[in-house]
Amino acid sequence: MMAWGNSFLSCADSKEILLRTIPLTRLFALFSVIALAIIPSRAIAQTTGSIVGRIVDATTGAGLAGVDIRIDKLPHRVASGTDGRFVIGAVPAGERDLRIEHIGYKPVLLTRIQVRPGRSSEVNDVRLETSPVEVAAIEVRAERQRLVEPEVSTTHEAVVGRELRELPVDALDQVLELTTGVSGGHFRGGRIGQEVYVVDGVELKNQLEASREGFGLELAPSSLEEVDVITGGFGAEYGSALSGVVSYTTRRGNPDEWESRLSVNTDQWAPASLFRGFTGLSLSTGGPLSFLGKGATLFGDVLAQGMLDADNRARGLTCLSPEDAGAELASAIENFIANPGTSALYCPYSSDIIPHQRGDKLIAFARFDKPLSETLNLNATILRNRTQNELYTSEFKYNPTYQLGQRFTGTLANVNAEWLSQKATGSSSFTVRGSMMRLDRYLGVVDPATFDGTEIGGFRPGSFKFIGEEFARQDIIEQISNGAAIPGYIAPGGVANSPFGTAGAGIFFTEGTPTISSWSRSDVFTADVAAGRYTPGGSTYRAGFAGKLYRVETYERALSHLAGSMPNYARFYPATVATFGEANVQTKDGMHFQFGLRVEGFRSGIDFQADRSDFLSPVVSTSWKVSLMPRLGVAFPIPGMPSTGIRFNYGRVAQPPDFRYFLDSTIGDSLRTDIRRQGNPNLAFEKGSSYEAGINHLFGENVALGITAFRKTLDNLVSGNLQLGDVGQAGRFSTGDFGTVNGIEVTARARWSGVSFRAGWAIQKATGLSSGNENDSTRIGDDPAKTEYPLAFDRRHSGDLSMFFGRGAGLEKAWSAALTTTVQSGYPLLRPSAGSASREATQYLPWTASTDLRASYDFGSLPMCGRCSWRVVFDGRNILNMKNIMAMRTNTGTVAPSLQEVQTLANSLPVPPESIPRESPAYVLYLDADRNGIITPQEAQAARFAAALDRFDPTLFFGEARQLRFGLEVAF
Amino acid sequence: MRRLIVIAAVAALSACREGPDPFVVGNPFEGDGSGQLTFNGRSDHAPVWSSSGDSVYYDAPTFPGLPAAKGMLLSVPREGGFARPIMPSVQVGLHTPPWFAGIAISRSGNDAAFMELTDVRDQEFDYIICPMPPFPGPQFDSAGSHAFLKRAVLRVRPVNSAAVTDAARLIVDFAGRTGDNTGAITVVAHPFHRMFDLDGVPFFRPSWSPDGSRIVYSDGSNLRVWTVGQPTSAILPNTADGVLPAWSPDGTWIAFSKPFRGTSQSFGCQGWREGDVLPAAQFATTVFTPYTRENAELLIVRPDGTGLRSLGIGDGPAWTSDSRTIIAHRDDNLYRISIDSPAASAIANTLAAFEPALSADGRFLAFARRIETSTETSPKGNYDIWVAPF
Repeated sequence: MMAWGNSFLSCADSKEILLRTIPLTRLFALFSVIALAIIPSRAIAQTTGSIVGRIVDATTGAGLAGVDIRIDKLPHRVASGTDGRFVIGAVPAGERDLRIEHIGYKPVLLTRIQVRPGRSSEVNDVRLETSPVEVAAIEVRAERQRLVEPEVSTTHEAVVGRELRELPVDALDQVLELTTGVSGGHFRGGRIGQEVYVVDGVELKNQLEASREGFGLELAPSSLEEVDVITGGFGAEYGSALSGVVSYTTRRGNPDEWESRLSVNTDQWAPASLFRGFTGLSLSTGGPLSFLGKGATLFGDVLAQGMLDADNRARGLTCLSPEDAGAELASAIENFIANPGTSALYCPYSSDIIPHQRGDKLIAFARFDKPLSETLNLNATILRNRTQNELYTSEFKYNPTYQLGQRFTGTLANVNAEWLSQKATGSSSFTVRGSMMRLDRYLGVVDPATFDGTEIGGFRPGSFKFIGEEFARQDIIEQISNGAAIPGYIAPGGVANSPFGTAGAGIFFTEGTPTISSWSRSDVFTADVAAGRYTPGGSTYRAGFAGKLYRVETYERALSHLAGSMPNYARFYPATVATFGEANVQTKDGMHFQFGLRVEGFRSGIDFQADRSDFLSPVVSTSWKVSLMPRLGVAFPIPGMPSTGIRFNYGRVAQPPDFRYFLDSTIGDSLRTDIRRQGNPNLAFEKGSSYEAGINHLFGENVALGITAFRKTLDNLVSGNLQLGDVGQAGRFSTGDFGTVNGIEVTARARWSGVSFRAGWAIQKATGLSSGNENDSTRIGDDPAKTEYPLAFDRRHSGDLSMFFGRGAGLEKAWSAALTTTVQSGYPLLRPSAGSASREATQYLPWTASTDLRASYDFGSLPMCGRCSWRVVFDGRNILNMKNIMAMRTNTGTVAPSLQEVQTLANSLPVPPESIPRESPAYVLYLDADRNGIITPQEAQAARFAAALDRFDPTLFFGEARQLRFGLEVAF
Repeated sequence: MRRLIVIAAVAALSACREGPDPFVVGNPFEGDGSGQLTFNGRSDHAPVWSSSGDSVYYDAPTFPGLPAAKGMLLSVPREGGFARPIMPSVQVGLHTPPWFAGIAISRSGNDAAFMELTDVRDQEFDYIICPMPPFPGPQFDSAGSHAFLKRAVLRVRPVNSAAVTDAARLIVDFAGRTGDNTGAITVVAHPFHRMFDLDGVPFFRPSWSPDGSRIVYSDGSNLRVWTVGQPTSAILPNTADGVLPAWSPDGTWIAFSKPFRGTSQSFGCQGWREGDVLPAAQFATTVFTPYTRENAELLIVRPDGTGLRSLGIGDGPAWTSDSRTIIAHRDDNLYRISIDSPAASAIANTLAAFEPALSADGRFLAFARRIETSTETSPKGNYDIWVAPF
């Protein structure tokens, strides 16, 4: 291990990895230079669009100049030009109301105009009627969500805030699942982490470990104005993504009055079969801050959720039943049950929900907006996340004291200054943003004292405590020189509390602790500038630049209970930069062209020794990696068929690999820590190309259908070659994986009075070379066999349906309902190679599906609170009680192991050399078949089969459980 | 209607249910009430009561679930339950677990006195042939004649202390074998040897004086009185071959038992190891025969060695709180034996009970019961700890 200045990097077991880091003084200097450099230029992604249109005299049809057009609750305002045309640029995405006023004319309030990020929303000619006296505004419903968008060349799905608050969802990832082509977190068959998130224009990603932990930050659905999910043809402003873009537009306070909403829902009242231990509280409030001047607003949102069953994909703690097993094992289980001497050993413990799964989530968000002048607006947001839960592990399920757990915390602070020039001839904007994000993850043994504190409905105000966290986070040099085990960690073992006693030794740890401790922290400072120009004709031109500086720390210690065991620790300072230019040109005959170019670069900030086995080998300096990404798109209505639009797009896509791949990894996804990978700080971009063609058609006025065909070729994907249990000879991360996804998506939208409907179906096939393949460990080397397999994330089919009724569909009704359904075909089970004759024999898991329903009724005002209104809400999940099998054993095609597997494990379990008396801590009543106070070796031997069977319990093989919640909402 | 909905809503939302309980192994002792506290396939001995009377302390060879010690001092709840080491700091987690036996708790309940057997000749031979052929002679149970205690440490320490050092200690030497391993061995099988070897009885069991200043124990040859903290102890006169002493609660008597020493017979013996074609050793053995646990005399003596009185047949005495009655094994039962008269009466349901101990409140009797059933680890049967109302 070596250190330079006030920073350094650490060690990976006995092998040292030398990572040169940047001293803090240099870091600040570099940050300052970049900050100065970007001030005159722009940023990155967009969450704003524009509204264009024309105001005409209802009588003459002539354009009206000088009409005052402004957006309700926003500072955006413009006067129409001489021909009545206008454009309002840089409008935050979402549903907007347009107020149009002109002296001598009746005012018009055009409601629910859909504004889309990066695009123009055109309102057809607005006809003003003359009026000699001042009258109230006439409210006109705009075209609402447009069923087809013939001028849009990308594939995207938008959910507006009104819908978000009606959907049966707890988290935004459930909203994303309702997007056609998104399934199980995979965007069009891509790996997890191939998407980027944009929050109010700031492009964010968990660049350290997105492929494992996802975004890492979460917003409450109630804090959003809109979610826009782009799955294909995304523009040049979006980068660091191969497969998708998720754009969030946050809510801002109402400048006219304070509005609040409090919601509580829970399943505490439900019968046991529907009880999952969920309680949620949501509070949103927003309004004017008059003392700070006109237009200053504040919005705040808090979401707190408590969970007894944090991973509700599990059906409960069950045991293998003969029905789940193959014939041989089923017969063995039935014989075991039929034997009075062993029947008590079968399935000694089950429960409706899984123990050791407690957790909670806290999301707090605040947004401040303040117009600094007629043309300059300032907003600042802050987002704080805390998600923490126990991690159920079969090995420790009988441990009464110690369980694994994890805690994620995330903080995002963003300041945004936007200059707007709104003129009839065009609108311009210039935006400067600065943001800081910290993501912190800790994985370790939960201190039992955590659960002694205050808890309300499963929610704990305090953070989880972890055993030895303070030690694990202390200065690494002190820690290594100390050489001690992490305080509180105890070697796992024991048999005392297992129903199988000594027969379960080694597979169930009833004493001691899990041995893993791991944490990571990444800080990112982002600065970006963006400029946009919006024309009345609907064209937009944008350019921008962004730079990000990271400070990353990771820590992994697999054998925390052993003094002298070495942690893997790293601290380094990667950086990324990006710039783009894009033109969205709309011609008068309805043609839309999108031209864009994006350039991205990154560097790992790590220098490393070329050959670790030779300490004299040269140190390799990692250089900047650069990727050039052209993006093209075209969309147009078919001549003579204005209801039919066609679109094509092409783009090169690229993203920096997760930074974690720069580092050694010793901790896999289970307690078995013999999977070792060697980091590679010199990885290049993961790259790909995307092609897409689509057609949309409007049938009548109420139904639209769209068909999209796409092809995505991905190469240079990070590959972690595996070599099991061979310390020091582990595979090294490389960019050797590749894949191809071909697919067709069909979407349908419809609306009638009081009902709106959106459905989609995606058929896709993903093949490629993946390090997840079974034969991967044989494929180590520079020239791996280029054999394609159906990839693990090959979903082939996925469908989604969202239906809104009543208030949720836009009606002014007291009642509302939203029904959603997602359905997916199963993952590949056996994956013969592409060239294999047995390819047709590829097996897939069964289909999975879930239908959720949320219904509410508004009872109007509350006593003594005239402005309050309250609702009762019923929220049902998986109401059809689908028992979705999420995983199977690849060698049997069932959720159960084979008889041979069970017997092999059983035979490996110990038999006590002598009898166990009843006063022994190792005595378990279940094993004492004759109840004579002595467990003989023969009795213990019989228990080994039961222990092995229990170890293969099907927990977590099943999808979301059915549940029913009841809730109250109060708006005031 | 609205009011009802509000009430229902508030009731539903205010409910607060717990999650699933983690798995807990059922209590195998619940509702048992048989009085049998231990089921160890080897022999458990010398029960004594904790000061609170909630637990019974005893010594036992280890069993699965405990450290691999030859003997441990354990505590088991009076109602039955898991046995746990009394002093984990000196019994658990050690590379070489010590061999503890024969615990006594002081009247105050604060201090424990017990023996750590530090120098024991393990079984050197798989079998012994006596006398050496071709000379004829009486055969005897050879198993008892070759595994000899040599030395122990009498340790005194606070019962609940986590410290690993003793408050006081004394070296105890046992009589018996002399010579070396070259073959010139002379073995004398005293009764206490055979008591320990054949039945595992901790004959040396210490007993506290009521004021906690002295301890009486047996070195097999005699009873000895140790003033705690002193470097040596003194032989208690008139207690030759005395074992299992018990100091009366009023401090005026010490009761003990004395295995009968029959006629001595000497043999030339061969020690054999399985598979060998030649004997591993030849040695001279002197054995006092016969030996059975029933064959002992119950005696009392003043703490200064005067006033020795025989109370007849009896073994393993314990005192009642009035210091006028002794409970001891006689005629394969426990008996109440008065020290003031010849009166003695059997205690019901104490068949095959030995080494009695009366709880401080006099309500319960703990004892070691001999079970004749042969087990893998005790071919000749074993002892388990029982509790019965008194």
